[in-house]
Amino acid sequence: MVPRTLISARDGSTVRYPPYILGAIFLVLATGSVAAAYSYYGAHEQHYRVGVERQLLAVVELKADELANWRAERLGNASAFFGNDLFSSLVRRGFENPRGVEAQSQPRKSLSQVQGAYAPARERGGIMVAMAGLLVLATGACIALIWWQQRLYVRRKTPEAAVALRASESQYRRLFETAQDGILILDAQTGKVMDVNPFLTKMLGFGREHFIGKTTSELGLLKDTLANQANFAELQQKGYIRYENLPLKTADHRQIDVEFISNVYRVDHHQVIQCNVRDITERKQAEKTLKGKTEELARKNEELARFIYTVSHDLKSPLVTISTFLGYLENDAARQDAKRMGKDVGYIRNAADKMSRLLDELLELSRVGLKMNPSVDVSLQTVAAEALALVAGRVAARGVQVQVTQEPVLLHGDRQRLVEVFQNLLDNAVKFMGDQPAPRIEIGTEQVGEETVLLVRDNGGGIDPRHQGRLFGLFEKLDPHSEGTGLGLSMVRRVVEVHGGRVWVESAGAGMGTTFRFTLAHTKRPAARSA
Amino acid sequence: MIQGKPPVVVLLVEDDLAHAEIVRRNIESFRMANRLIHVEDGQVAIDYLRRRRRNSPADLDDFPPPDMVLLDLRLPKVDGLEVLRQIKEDETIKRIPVVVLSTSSTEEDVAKAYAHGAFSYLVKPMDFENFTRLMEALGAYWLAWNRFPE
Repeated sequence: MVPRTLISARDGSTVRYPPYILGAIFLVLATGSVAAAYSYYGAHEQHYRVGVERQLLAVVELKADELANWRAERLGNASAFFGNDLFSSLVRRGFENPRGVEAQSQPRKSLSQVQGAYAPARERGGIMVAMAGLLVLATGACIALIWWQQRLYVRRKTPEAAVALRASESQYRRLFETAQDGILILDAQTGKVMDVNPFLTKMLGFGREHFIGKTTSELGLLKDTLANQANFAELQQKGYIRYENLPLKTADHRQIDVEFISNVYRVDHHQVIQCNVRDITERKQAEKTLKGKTEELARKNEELARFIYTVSHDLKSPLVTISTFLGYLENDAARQDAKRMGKDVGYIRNAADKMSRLLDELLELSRVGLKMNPSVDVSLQTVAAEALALVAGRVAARGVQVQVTQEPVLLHGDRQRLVEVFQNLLDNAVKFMGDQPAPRIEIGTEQVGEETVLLVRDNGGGIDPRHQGRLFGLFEKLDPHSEGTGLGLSMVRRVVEVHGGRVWVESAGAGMGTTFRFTLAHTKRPAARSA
Repeated sequence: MIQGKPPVVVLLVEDDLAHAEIVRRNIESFRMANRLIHVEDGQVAIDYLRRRRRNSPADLDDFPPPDMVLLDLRLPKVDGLEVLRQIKEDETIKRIPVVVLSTSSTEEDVAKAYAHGAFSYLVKPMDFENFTRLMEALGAYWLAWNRFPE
């Protein structure tokens, strides 16, 4: 038999009474009360009847002479004692006419009348007692029946309900314990943490006890969110709040990005806020990487479009020259104009040469980044010396004095390409030395914060700041008469960018000299600390 | 070709010397201009046009105001579109018609040139015949048929 829970204590323990004890108590009480009522009524009736009968019999059976001898006061006392007018008048009449027939028969008549009246009264009393008993029993039976029904219902429901409840509870508990999202349960009134799941404690690196009983602002979590009144109002109104991108601090002072959803709902009689916290640091990181890659691709695409435009234009130009001068050549040949023919051929040859050079250099440019020699560590001085050897003829012809810093700097990358960078910059500096009487080129370094900047500085012709922006563009030539195709600085920029650096130019203007500066990833200064 | 017209000055802005030679030969053979001034980059072209502002008689001799500008787009220092923009922004020279003569036939360049106020956009033909015919037609149209306000 499943004991019925009568009292649920706050702590969850219960006090149980077996129902048959209750039934027995009820029966005893019911039977007792019926028996008491019956015996009370019986005793009362008995007492009354006995008293009346005894007196009446005494009156009837009194002999006239015995009656004559009674003292008036005794009779009076008896009458007074019973306080019954009927009996008093009977007695009185007996006294007045002791031998009278009427006086003799009257008490007997009265007695039989009284007895006749008593019999139904006695019966009614019994019925009343019986009815009261029945009423009590019926009430008891009803209560018992209701209780029985209830118990049957509870008995039928309780086991499966209890089992289901236990199962669902453990299921939800398991959900809470094993969720791969952080879950925080707050009391909506106090804002204090009621429960926290293991995932969140692990995510933030704090123990469970760090959270329980504290408010979110005490925890320093979600400072601008739930602690904020407006947000809390929104939460109450909408039932939930969602934050896409919330930075949280962990125990070891790392910052993680989380997605944060809080719901408010009612449990029994108080409101509870459930906060689901999902670590999206990795996702954010991936998004950032993807964005970077997309931007890089877009940039590359744009670069490629510009490249194709420039190439098509610059390759078309010599073709226009060649085909048009071929026309002139035909005309001039027909007119036997040898002088003009020579000129025409000259233009055609120049255009063909230019085209060939353009194609060679384009091919070279396209190879940068595609075909790389293995990266090595090489000192700035070694690279500079190799580059200088390649441009030595021109440097000597212009009488340029070249100075290379002695500071130890270690470059890292494709050695041949790095040499090409310096070669192009030196070549450029010599080419645009202008009319400088004491031409000088300096190869040096500068430390800007963490970064080592390499520089090639000349005291030559300089560059008008208005034109510096186009300097590194494909086929850009500031001086149309200068030799070269205008790819040298494009090449420099390409190599530098492939080596994770950037290049820029500074010049105060025409005649003020030019400084090319560039960075390369992984540039080291072994003795930089002493500087 | 020039019928009773005052001396015609054409300013040719072209960095490719071979192309400049082709234009020079055509202008000569069709007598499109009394004087051809050739500059090789955009900056020089702008400087040339702006010098007219000083308006000294000596300047007008050295730098006669052009009646037309033949402009290449890909130019050193300042590119053709920028030259065009600066011409059209300058009140004193904005009425000089600018004919773009470029190897580029891209939609973008054509649209930009007209947006910046080019009078006409001509793509350099890829052969002698067409180049000659183009220059002849330009001369006829511009010098014989087209009218500008005085």
